[in-house]
Amino acid sequence: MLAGPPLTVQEVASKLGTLIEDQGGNLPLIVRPRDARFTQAMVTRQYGTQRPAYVVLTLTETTELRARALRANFGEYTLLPRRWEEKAPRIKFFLGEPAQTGSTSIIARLMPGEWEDIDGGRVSELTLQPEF
Amino acid sequence: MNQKSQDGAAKQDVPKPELTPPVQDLTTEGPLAQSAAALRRVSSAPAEPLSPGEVIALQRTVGNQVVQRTLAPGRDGVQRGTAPVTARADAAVQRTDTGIAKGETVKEFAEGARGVQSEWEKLSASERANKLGALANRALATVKVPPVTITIGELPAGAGGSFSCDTWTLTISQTIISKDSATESELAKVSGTFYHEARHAEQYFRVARWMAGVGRSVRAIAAHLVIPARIAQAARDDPLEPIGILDSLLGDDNERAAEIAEARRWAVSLSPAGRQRYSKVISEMEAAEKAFNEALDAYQASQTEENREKAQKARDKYKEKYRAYRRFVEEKDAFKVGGEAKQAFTGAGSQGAGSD
Repeated sequence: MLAGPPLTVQEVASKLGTLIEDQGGNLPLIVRPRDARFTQAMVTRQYGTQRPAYVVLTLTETTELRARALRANFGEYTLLPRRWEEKAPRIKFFLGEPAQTGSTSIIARLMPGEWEDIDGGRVSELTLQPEF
Repeated sequence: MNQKSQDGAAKQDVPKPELTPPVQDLTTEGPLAQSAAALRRVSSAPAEPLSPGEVIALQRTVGNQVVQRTLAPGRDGVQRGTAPVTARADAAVQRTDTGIAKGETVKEFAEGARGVQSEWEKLSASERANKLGALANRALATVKVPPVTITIGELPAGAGGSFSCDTWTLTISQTIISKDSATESELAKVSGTFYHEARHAEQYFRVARWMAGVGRSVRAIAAHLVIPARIAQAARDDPLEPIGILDSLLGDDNERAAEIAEARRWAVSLSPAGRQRYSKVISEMEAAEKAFNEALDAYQASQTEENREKAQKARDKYKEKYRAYRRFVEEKDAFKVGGEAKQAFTGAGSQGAGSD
């Protein structure tokens, strides 16, 4: 959806579910997704536009998704560098050639502290980002 | 590597500029003269230290890559006694404020942040975040850094904001932005932190431009720095070219020399290996903080001499790790620039008070 023909943030939000809050200006829209496996979706704005920058999907506590399941679907991942404020590991998958139009990446945030077994780590959040 | 082969490598790496008659006149004075002298010394006596001025002159004439190769340790890792000189040269270059560290940009941001403070209570949290985000992006726009996405999020206590290179996002602390009222010192701190984080965006983009300037592809830049490909493409569209002999002769390139010197330093720290070291320090800092909190709890529960000593040791270890975090070149720079924004915020307030 993000890598397809240009959609506005409002269009992306309505495809995902019910709009809970549009924070306005350059800030994101918060959505309650139709898909019951997610508690919330955040549709961010590319600054100064109504185009989406990326979408963050928060999984429900009962949704069981492991890094290895994503790897089986999307191929090898890269462990992202740690940020000072971040206690959870994050991994990144590329869908398509990074430098080509239409390429997208998925960043999976695992549960905090799951540094020892990344592959078996449980996913708490998914970020879908058009790369180009 | 022995002395002979070092000499050979140096001579091979350093091209001899072909000087036409009018240019040759300039070799008796000015940057070329300094550069030529430096080149002679590098070629003839590798162990002899160069002055910071000579290193800068070399950077401005033969280009940074050549200087880097010339001053780098030999392939066998043997230092040529130039590391302290390089450090001194870097320090000399760093005296030039670059990008959003420039006084007028800092001042404009601080005055804008003052404006947000003056209407804080009338604004919603989203309006405050939008305004602060706009100020950060305005500062970044002065140096053509692609605008960052703005979000509000939960951050650790005391943190005003954070920058995420992988999504090119500046996040503002939910706790702070949602406060009904904020004291002057709180807002000065938020302004400083926010500017600190914006500087990180500039650092990444500058390194990306520098990588583009030495011919790296969008894919390579995006993968190396873990930034979105569209940001890497923007860097490719505006590369930071190495300084060549003509540039040096045609204009004053002190600023570009400083930008390149900074980009080179940041590039090492923002590389995958550098990020691995960073991640390690962050993990150690976190563990030390946890140990300190536990030791403090133990001391509060039982105020024995032994528990006091343990708490002191744990605190010292935590402070040591925190200092290690702040020593990363990009953090040191961002803390400096953020500190200037904080100071300017306070200054903007006192100026305003004075004019009333």
